[in-house]
Amino acid sequence: MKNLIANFYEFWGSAYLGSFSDDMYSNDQYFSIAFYSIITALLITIIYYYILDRPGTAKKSIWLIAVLLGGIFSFIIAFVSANNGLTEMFTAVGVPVPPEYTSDMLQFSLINVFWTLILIFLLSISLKWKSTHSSYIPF
Amino acid sequence: MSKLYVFGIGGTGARVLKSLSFLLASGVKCNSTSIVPIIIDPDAANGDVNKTVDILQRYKSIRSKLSFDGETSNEFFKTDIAPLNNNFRLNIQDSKKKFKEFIDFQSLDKNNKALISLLFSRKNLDSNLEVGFKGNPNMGSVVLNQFNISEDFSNFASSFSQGDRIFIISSIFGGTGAAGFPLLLKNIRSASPNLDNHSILQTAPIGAVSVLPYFGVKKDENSDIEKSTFISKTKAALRYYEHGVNDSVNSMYYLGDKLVKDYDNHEGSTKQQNDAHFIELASALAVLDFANDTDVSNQKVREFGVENSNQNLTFNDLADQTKTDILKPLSKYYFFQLYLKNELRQNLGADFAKRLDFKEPFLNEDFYQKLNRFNDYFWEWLQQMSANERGFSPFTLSNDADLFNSIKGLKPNKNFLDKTNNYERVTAFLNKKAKKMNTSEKTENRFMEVFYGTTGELMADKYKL
Repeated sequence: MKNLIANFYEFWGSAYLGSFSDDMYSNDQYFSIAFYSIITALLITIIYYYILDRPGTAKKSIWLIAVLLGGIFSFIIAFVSANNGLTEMFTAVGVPVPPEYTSDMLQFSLINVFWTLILIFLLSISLKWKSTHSSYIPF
Repeated sequence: MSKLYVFGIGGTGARVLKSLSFLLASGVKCNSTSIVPIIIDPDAANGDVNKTVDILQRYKSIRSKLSFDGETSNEFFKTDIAPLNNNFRLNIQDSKKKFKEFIDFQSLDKNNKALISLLFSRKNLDSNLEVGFKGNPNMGSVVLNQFNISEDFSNFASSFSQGDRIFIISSIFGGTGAAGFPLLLKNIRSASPNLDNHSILQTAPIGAVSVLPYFGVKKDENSDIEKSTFISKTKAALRYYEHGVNDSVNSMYYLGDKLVKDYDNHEGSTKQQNDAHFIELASALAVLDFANDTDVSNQKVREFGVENSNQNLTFNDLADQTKTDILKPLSKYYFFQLYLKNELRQNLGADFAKRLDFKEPFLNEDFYQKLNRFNDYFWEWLQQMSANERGFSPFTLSNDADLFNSIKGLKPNKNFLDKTNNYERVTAFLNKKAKKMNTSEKTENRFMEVFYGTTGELMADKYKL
């Protein structure tokens, strides 16, 4: 499972970021960030299709806003979790987090946004049918 | 499968038929399986008659696209309107000439000419019959006394069968109605043996409404119609009806009002387009009361009353039975037509529209266009009744106001947990209703079914009706 999640974040090697990726993997950061991102995607989809659900929100534009919010949350989750986890790890051995990790964290967070958006889309397709007012959103 | 033949005589007859068609469209209960409207008016260009014919034709066309089998709960346009001919009229022969030509005045001898001069004024004799009898029942009683030789009347007799009923609508204070009613009644009760089904006709259940003065006309020196004669004509006619009419009908309805508004004085033709009036709605209810009466074997005379005689009536001013009969159906149809007018086009992307396949081309089809025009007439009818005296204004008739506050005197239930209000709540209920519907029905059936069901659920949700 750990390897599978790492493959998603590293795009099967093509987005491998050297020591940053190694540290994320060894510190079990991938799993927790993936877990919270999946929960976020699920919550965003459920809230949109079953809690907010009303004719006024059954519009592609509102759905896109919900997806965008999901993206923003997943970016924050990825960036903050990675930063906190790595800071904790480096502080424990008495060295500062390497400065080049900041751009790596940004890139990693964008990859997390990408997968979260894909997941929200897939969850939307799967869960929309039972929605009272939004079963034809996004199509 | 009983039919109800409804004869609408003169302008009032046509306007009552107009009210009847709106009541039927909104699903007010009618036990007859079909209504056969027959308009009798020699005034071929009469504005009121032509408008009614247009409304009836649209009703018929809309209904022809709908089916009412066990699968549907829709009662909008449920009652069939089946005309005898395309123009819904009983054509009067030789009515396109002057009255003196009609009675062949020139060929009469001196004594008969003198007698005719006693009965008819020079103005009467020179009157053109194409614009009706201009409030002169003495002329009408001569011209209309030829029902039995009319082809349309023969067709009526041929189509009449056991169990069918007849209802006659006329005003008592004008020309055409006052003259036509007793003559029509006579021609039915003593139907000629040459007519098909004459024995069934002679004993058929007949109901009639005779409308007493409920409007006046403005003074006009150039017009033959004078409102000061309305009461005296009514008295004379009532005296005659007491012996010549009441005994021949099974159910006789008398309707009238003390409050009268003076309309513009038009003798007839296209300019005669009187505003809709509550009395015409009450007369249409008399038609339905007769249609729904399970026992018409005994003679009855009925009047119509309201609970409060306010200048402007609302549902709460009506008697309980009337309120029960019309409040829910008219309110449902009012919501339906408001949604169609103000919201439907913007909501073609809504769940119910997608699920039931209502797309832009459907709104351009003949069915929807006819329904739209019919609904414009419905709106105009409500507006005119509201502005008339006595007025009937049960709705606010506002396109912008909150929909659920638009039924006067009815306070909508409010729940703080409701996520939606106004038109959005209608869309929400349409979405819920559409989810439970059979999508294999024809588009027109689905369309009416979803709106009929939804407006019914909204009545229960908001007003506990």
